[in-house]
Amino acid sequence: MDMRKQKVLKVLTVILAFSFAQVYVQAGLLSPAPGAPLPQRVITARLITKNNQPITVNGNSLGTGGTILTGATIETPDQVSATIDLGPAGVVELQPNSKIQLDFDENGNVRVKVIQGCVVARKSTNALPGEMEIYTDKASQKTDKARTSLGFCITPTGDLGPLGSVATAGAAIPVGISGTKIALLAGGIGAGVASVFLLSRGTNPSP
Amino acid sequence: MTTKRIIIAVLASGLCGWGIWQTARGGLARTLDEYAARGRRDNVAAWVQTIAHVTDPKAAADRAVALLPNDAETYSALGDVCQSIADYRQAREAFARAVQLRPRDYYLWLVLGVMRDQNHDQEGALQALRQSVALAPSYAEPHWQLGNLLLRMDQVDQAFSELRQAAIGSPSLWPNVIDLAWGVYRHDAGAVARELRPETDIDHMALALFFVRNNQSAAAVDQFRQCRSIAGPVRNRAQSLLDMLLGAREFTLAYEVWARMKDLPLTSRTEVRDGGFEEAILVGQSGFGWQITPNVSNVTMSFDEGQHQSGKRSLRVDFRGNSSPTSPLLTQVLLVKPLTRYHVSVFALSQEFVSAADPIITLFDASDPKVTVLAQTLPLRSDPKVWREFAVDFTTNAETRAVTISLARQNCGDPCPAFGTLWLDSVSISNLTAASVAN
Repeated sequence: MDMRKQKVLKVLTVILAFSFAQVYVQAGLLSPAPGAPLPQRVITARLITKNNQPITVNGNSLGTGGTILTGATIETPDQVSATIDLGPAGVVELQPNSKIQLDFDENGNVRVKVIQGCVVARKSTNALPGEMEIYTDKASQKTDKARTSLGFCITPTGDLGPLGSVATAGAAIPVGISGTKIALLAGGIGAGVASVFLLSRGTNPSP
Repeated sequence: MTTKRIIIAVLASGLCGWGIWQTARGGLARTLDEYAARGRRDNVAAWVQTIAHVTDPKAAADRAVALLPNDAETYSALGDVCQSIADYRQAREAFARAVQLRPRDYYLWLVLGVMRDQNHDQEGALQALRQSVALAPSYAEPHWQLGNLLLRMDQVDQAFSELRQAAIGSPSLWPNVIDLAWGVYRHDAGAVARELRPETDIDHMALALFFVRNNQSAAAVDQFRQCRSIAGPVRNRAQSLLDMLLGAREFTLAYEVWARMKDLPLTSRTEVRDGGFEEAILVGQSGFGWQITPNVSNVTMSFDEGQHQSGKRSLRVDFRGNSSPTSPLLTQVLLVKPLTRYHVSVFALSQEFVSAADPIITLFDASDPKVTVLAQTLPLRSDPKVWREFAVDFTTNAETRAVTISLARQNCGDPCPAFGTLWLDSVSISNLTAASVAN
């Protein structure tokens, strides 16, 4: 090996050593400063309430734009429904006079404990691997590949029953049917029932 | 001259007509807005609906926009209606147009920010909410919405800076801010306190009550210590804190709160407060003084200056018939040291007492959830007109931090009437372990 090659090798070695040193320095700088405890990435959800009316979250009054954290107890008053937007994990819809405990994580796992009333859970995409679950102390239902939406009410016995007084069979909302269509379907059934009732009322018996 | 007058008259009439037309359009649009967005349902609204040929709020809001296309109010009403029917995209567009027409209105920027966020446009929402805050820096709602958005964007420090501002503007938001911090900092009371940095005594007490409800008694009392004054509404909250600490059996911390409320020096000495019944007893106020159970049937308690073993008066208890024998009539919580031997002494005088169940003094381990009995005196009966001392010794357990001294009757069946009078005076406690060490 001649002198020139040795010089080139030396220069390369120095450059390589310098590069590694840069990497280590940078790695050292990236570590957090001790003392101030920084929270881990916060997984949050967003609250939307009907007509911006307040509902109760962990005992506090909260309206549209409020942030929901995992473990929250959420309660809706009479005539106020609420939607909890969980981002890529989906949405949870709470009907009026309902109470749930909501747990969720970064993998899209969403657990809704129904304490009172009715709730719908919709998985929006398959971007996250987790599943949504609606449960009580006695019963549990989960989303899977076949069904991406669930809707249930808690029964007096603590089981999960179908949504509303007009039952949607099995209460598992079929894949691909949007919330609007469900509402239209429920409305149609309701209108049908009302029509049958009105047509079979007979005449006014008053003189 | 006449031609000139005619021209002026025609021009004036045209101008008046144009003015009337514009006013009518404005009035119509405003009434439609009120019907659509604010639920106005009177005869005028119904008449305007008929004129405008609209049947629902959305159609009314659209018609109002058509009538006044350069009016921020009509777009704002349209935005409200779209929001109420969950058409968030059109709501966002309506508010964006309203903002263009009235750019110095903080509220329009606020609702635009909320709608952008609802449409998953966080950067746009951030811009709108920052503008809203800039236009109304003293209002709580823009800070609140901006803080929530920043939190969801994982900008925690900035978020809590805004949320604190919101709580300063509207103290009713303080519990929400505390709750969010509690979740974000994963129930780390120290981190929550450092992040929130409460400034007023009311804020300190709100945080203290939150902590004690979440089993963080030491952090709660730390907030209480930072209060500058225990007066007015702070006093009521301090009483709530005291009640919760007593309920949680955190007696040492509870004593600290009680002593400050009473302006008493902190002491670690075990003593019976007002053992001679010389001071007034406030019924229904928890703490470390004497507690009288209110409304016990057929039992009355009073101070008697005619009878006393020491001082100027004693406690008189009159039994006038059937009453629950084991219900405590008089109690006091005393701070004690664990694994320590104590001597309790009480002087009693009874007169014409007749019952199957005599009054007794019992010492319970207040730190023990099972409230185990540590010691009990003999039945409190004396010779007529002669004060008699009743004494009992007991040793505290390893976990005992407080004992309850309680006056009740012995157990007996139901009914279990009692008649007669009992006087109590000179209740005291001494530390036998310390005395023996001293000797």
